[in-house]
Amino acid sequence: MTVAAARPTVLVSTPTTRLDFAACVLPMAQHQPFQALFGYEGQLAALAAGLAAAGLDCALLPAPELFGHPTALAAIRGRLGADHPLVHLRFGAPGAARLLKGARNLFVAGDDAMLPAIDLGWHPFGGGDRLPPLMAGVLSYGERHRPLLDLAGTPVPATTLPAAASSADLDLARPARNSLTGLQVQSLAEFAPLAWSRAAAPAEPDAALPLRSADLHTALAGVAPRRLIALPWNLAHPGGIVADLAVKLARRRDPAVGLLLLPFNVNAASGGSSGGNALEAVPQLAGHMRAATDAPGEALRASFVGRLRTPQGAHALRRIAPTAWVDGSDPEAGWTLRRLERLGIAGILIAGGLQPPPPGTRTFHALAFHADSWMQTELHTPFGRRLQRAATVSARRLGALLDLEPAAAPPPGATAAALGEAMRPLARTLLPGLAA
Amino acid sequence: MSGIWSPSLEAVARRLAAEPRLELWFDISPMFDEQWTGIPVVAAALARLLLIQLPRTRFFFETTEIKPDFVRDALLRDSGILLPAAFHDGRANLGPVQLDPARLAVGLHPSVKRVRGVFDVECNLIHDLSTLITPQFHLGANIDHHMQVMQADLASNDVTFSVSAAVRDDLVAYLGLDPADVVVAHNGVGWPERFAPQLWNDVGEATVEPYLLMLGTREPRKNVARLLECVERSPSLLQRCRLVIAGRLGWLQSAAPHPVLAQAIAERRIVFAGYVGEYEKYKLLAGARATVYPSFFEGFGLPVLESLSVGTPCVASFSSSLPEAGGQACVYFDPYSISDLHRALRVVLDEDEAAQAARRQACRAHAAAFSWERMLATMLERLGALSFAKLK
Repeated sequence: MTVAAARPTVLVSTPTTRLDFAACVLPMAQHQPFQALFGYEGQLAALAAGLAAAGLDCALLPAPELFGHPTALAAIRGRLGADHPLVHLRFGAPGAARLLKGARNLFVAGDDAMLPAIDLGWHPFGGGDRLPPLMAGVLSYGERHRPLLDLAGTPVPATTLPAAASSADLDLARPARNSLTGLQVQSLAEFAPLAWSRAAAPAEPDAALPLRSADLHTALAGVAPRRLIALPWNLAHPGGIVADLAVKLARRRDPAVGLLLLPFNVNAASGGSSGGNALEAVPQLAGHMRAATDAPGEALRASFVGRLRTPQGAHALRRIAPTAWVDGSDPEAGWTLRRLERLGIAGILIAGGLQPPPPGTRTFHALAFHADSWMQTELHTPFGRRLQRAATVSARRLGALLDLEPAAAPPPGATAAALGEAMRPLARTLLPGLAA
Repeated sequence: MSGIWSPSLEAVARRLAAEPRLELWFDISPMFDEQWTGIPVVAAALARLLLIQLPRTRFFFETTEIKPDFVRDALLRDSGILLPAAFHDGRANLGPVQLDPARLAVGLHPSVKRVRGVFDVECNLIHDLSTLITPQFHLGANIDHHMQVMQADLASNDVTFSVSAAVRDDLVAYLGLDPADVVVAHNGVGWPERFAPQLWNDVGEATVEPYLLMLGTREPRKNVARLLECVERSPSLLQRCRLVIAGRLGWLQSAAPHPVLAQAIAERRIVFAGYVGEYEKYKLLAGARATVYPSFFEGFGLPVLESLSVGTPCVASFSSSLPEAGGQACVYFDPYSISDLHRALRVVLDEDEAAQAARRQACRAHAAAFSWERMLATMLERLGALSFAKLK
């Protein structure tokens, strides 16, 4: 398969356990993210769009760690049609950072994406703040308060990305007002992990249709219409409060409100264990909810799982769920809030008094809700055993959280010309020979 | 590889043997496996040479010294099947490892260390960083095991050996090792002298139906699924050649054959041979029209070299270390691409007789540059230099 881009091209990669790619280098058009809003997939979508506006294309390199011999690099070059130095941008958690030996490697970080945990393991990257020595630099979406370090403890040189970069994909896509393209929603009662992990890209409408909910119309326009609250769910952060909030909400049996879970970083926990499907977390949560309520069928039909695979359906997402709760213990909360804000979805950050909101969130219109309860989770991860604390909301105080209904509207986005202007210096830094 | 100076094993061994203040200890723990493939094969090859070239070498498992006779017995069997029982009931043991304070003890671990900080000079041989870099191919327990010991092993080494430059580069890129502290000691290849006449007795000049051979434990990393998909999409390949897949069933892999290929399996156009011993492997390699090695990740790729050593062309993926093991002798392909694999197979299968003969010669010539003697000599040369410096 030849990528043969007409423009200079950088290679990008994200954590994945998939082995079914058609080639070692793929055009970005063949990239099929699980979702494109949050986590590393959102970061990739945004940066790729920003670089495109500046005259630089991206190509997907699913497994950079496999290739490094000159024979392999020559094949990669041949497919890119590239005569410029190879540059590889890596997205995902620092612990899953992989390198393309023989290229210039840069790590793209969304805010201070570190796990606030006690690491009891021996894994060299177990602390979550270390990068392999060959990683030449960090491109950060927000100002980092804690630098990423190499294994010797030396900070890796970091560059903050232009603010426009964090929403370039959403700005340039011009979401259609009535389009459902790319938006997939199913109730927990309908959810099947394998269908979600295998479903083809939204460009194939027939493949997307089975993931539309039969329960959604009932919930939104039934006898007692429900208000849906979006709940972004970082599956690479298993110590978070999403499951706790969902179970507490189910126990209330409130006919006026339901949840729209938005899972992301589906493969990010792939630092070690494999063979499993990260989406199994969804039916596990459904099981907890079923056990927690006297009317499990109703609870599962009124709670939803969703994803936005392309920005075209962003308006529809906002219309379904105009408010979102954001787990303040999630290391990617800042990035999530920024993306919600750009969509015009009002984010409410749930954080404990002892745990300040993630750095950078003060600049957003997010509302901080003071959590009054703490949960501690012991996690067995590929990086060792962790004890993780997270601030959550007690059942008693959940009503106060539900009473919050902030309104938000999307801020004006950058035009293609302004975006190109903002991104051009970065593009020239990545590939110095790039024409102005 | 060709043209790079390497010391003669005999000369290096003589220098070490002549120094009475030096004793070499060799860790035989990989040889405790019943079925020797991969790392146990390397450990056994090194142990075999040490028994000949440095007969004073002492063998150990964890903190227990093992009788050389039990090492010889395992080498004769090409299996460690009897070692665990003999160790546990004490028959194989000479007692705890006792170091003479008047001598410099050098500990050579051919794989992960089970104990560290025991010897005056320590080293281990790194076969790959697969559990760190490609954990998706491993079971959690295996990953945990390696992660717990990897950094401690490296930190306690006076020198670290790697089986390929690819592994050395991974040690530098991911773990920050100084390249000067990592010595590349390429794996070797060699067959017992009895194999060639035995093969002649077994097969003679009989015509063998053409077959493609894939050697390797059936696990996702070996990418056997791509090969099966390739023959499924191009049935003409199976009309030209049978496909023989030899290797034990590993992990993270269904035991059931691919359903679409059930007919080909029923008709014996595809044969799963299971684990094969050394002679059966040699025989299969020698008789194959070509071998296929589609692996996603290797530290070296011993089956590639084994194939080339008997003059059988190898079609290998261009991932990780494989182009280093196969050099110019292999035909390479993208391990993700079925069409590229098909193209590479056609390159080999479509060659006329003259081209086949030339390729067979090139294969043997490339493999001849790799030997266990050269590997051990490279290791002993560096260990000798470190030891003599400490003895001064």
